[in-house]
Amino acid sequence: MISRLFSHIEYYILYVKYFLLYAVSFLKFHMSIIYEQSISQISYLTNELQQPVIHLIALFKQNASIITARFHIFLKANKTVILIGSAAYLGIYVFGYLIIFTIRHARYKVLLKKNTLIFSLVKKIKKQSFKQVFKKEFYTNLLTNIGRFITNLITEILLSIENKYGNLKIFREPGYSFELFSRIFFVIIKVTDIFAILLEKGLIALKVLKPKGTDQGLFLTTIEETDDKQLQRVIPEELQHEFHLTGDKQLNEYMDFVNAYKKPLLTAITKWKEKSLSSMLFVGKKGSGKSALIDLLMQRIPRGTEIVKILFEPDEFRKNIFNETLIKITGTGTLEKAVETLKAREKELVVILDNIHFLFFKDQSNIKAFLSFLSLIGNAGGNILWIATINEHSYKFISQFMPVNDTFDFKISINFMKTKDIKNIFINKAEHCGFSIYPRLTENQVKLAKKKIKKGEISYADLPNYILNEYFGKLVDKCENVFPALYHHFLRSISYVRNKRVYISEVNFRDLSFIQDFSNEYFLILTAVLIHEILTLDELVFLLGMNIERLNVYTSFLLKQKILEKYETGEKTFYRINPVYTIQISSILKGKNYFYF
Amino acid sequence: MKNILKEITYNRILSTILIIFLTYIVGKIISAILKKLAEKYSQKRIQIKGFIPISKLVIYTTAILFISFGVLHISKDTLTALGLSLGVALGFAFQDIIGNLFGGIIIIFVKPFTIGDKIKIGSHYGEVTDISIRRFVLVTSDDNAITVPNKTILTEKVSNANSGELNCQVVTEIYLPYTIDIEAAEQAGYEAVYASPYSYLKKSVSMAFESTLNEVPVIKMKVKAYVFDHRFEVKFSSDITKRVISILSETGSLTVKSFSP
Repeated sequence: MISRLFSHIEYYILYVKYFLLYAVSFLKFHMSIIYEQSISQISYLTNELQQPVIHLIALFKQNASIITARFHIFLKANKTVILIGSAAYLGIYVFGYLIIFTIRHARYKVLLKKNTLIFSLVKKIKKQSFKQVFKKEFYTNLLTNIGRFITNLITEILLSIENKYGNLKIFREPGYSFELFSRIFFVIIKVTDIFAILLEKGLIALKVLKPKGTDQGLFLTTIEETDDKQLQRVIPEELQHEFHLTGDKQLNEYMDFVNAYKKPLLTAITKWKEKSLSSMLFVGKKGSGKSALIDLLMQRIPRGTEIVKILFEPDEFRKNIFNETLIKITGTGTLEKAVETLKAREKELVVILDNIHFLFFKDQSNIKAFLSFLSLIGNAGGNILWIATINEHSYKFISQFMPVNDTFDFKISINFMKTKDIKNIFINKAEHCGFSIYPRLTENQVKLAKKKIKKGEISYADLPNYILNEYFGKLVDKCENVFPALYHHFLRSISYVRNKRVYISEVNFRDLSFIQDFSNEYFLILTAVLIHEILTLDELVFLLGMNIERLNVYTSFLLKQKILEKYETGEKTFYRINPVYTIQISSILKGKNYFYF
Repeated sequence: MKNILKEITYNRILSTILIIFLTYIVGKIISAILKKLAEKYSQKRIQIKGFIPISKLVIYTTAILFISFGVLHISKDTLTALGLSLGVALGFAFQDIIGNLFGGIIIIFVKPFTIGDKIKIGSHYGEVTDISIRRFVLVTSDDNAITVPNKTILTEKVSNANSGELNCQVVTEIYLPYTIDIEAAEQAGYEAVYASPYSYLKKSVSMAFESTLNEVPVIKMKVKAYVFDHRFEVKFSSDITKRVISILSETGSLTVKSFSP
């Protein structure tokens, strides 16, 4: 605020002074031109008639010169008056600004209570106190104002040059020089402003301008997260329920149009029938639809084929998980006997292993168990089809030192769902409970769209669809097909619901770049959790070799920042990465080299 | 000489001092920005930091040229006269400085190492944190900063542990009782590397054993593995030792049995 005020004072005073000085020079110059031109214009008149006109013009010139000269003297003598005048003007300006802001703020408050439809519009303003707003503006304008100050300085220098070298041609023609200088100043002001903004952004990115505490200080990118209570007020319960739960009945309906998977999957099943394929691996991020695809695939497996489906849960005791699995599949608890039983089997069997990364624990004894499991798949014989799913991060890590790629005959990466497919899923889900999705048009969007309409790229009728596509495109880019993240951001982008129409606006993504400055321990914790998907505190202690008290401090902070979240099952409490931030965190870890694989 | 002295006025001296000061500030700012960038994009840390000495060289050379020809207006004749008359005398007087300058140029352009590399020169081993025209700075694992004159690289052997990459091999030596089950120890070594949070598993892991005498006969086990960032070299080594000992203790392999030589 102080910087803004000072900048305004300096800025206006200098420019008022500058303008007045030029006005004086301009008047002086034009008076002489008017005089000369008037004389030439009246040359056709007779001498009698010329004389009074010449006299009048001379009188006018004399008076004008006296007026401008007096004005010039007045300006020079009354610097304090000009200063006070400008300050008063600024005072009124700032006061007016404050009043307008207060009225707006109060108006929003009243509207907020009366009309929930504009709730989403004003929720950010409501959250920001006066102090925050001014603090934000103070920082935002600080460097821009430095730019202005430099511009003013240049103006001053140029004025002093003019005073010193006023006899030069360029200064003798005020009209020309005014135009020239105003152009130069305009360019300088623009360039300086742009540089100031760029410099500011750069310094924030480089953490030279360090915000206090967490992301709250990142004024250019801070996004307020909508909490669940607020969400409840905007989005109807049935819609939230629809987006949070995926029932088996609807699965086929939602996934059936994802044609990209069908062909390779059917080819794989045919190959298995021909005994040239015995194992398939689905790799994908958490929430990318691996399990959903397996359910879809189960419907395509020929009738009569025996199917064993094992869904690995994180709450199972990790050290016994391998033996328990063997018993479930073959009825025996040892590897050798299990291989013998499976080889001797005549009837075809499909073993579906969902989330095999829970079989792996980056622990000395468990590494052996996972290797044994891979050897079981590799040696079981041709009558068995193994279908397994694995988390992408775990897969990338494990395959560095385990023969995962050699063991499985067929591998599919689940990451090629198109924007169009995701858009259809959302539209279908909304339609399923009687809603339809509409874009909420902002002025900028309409302006951009109008340009496209003018160019003939889209028609007026296509406008909502075009903006919906843009919206989903951004959503998919940021969320990389991770469904929990997609749902999270989609629900938070709902502006309002009216007459069973859901109006959605631009998606706000919280910037996690503040974690760049965290200490190594945080990155080690995040890497371990990403590799294993979920971990208990004890497991983290074991994996990282830290003591529990220290680890508690780190995990509590990450929980507070909503980067980690707790997942309770049975008596155990697990930690996992908030799926909304998985993509951002993994890219930060890659940048920091913790995710080198 | 008279001509040169004629050229030097108070104005020019002031301008020269101002330019030197500005050059110093600009050099510092650019270094600070590059260092910040390097920490932000750790994966490219070494490559980004490699620009620091080059940028310094460019800035300082530009400043020297500007002062010589732009401020002091040294003519070709003056330069030749200076070169002839002072060259020999100054050459002897400043041979150390000139040696360091040449060493600095070799470091910048031949790149036997760059900022961020772990090197061993003489008896010193540490991370190169700064390279200038005159000297470079090594920070050892004990956090001691050692300033080494650039001309040292002309006479001493330099070994570079990571050569521009972040990962580097760490050899952890563990002394085990002579009666140890070698196979169990080898297995424990592999498991410890796979389980360590600091290991870089894209490169091969290997074990070596040798029997040695340390008052009593012992087995020296060498675990050769890569750490993903050489800054964790010490942590990685101690983590491996801790894990190997823990695995062997759990399996009872570390129980010292009677031994008769």
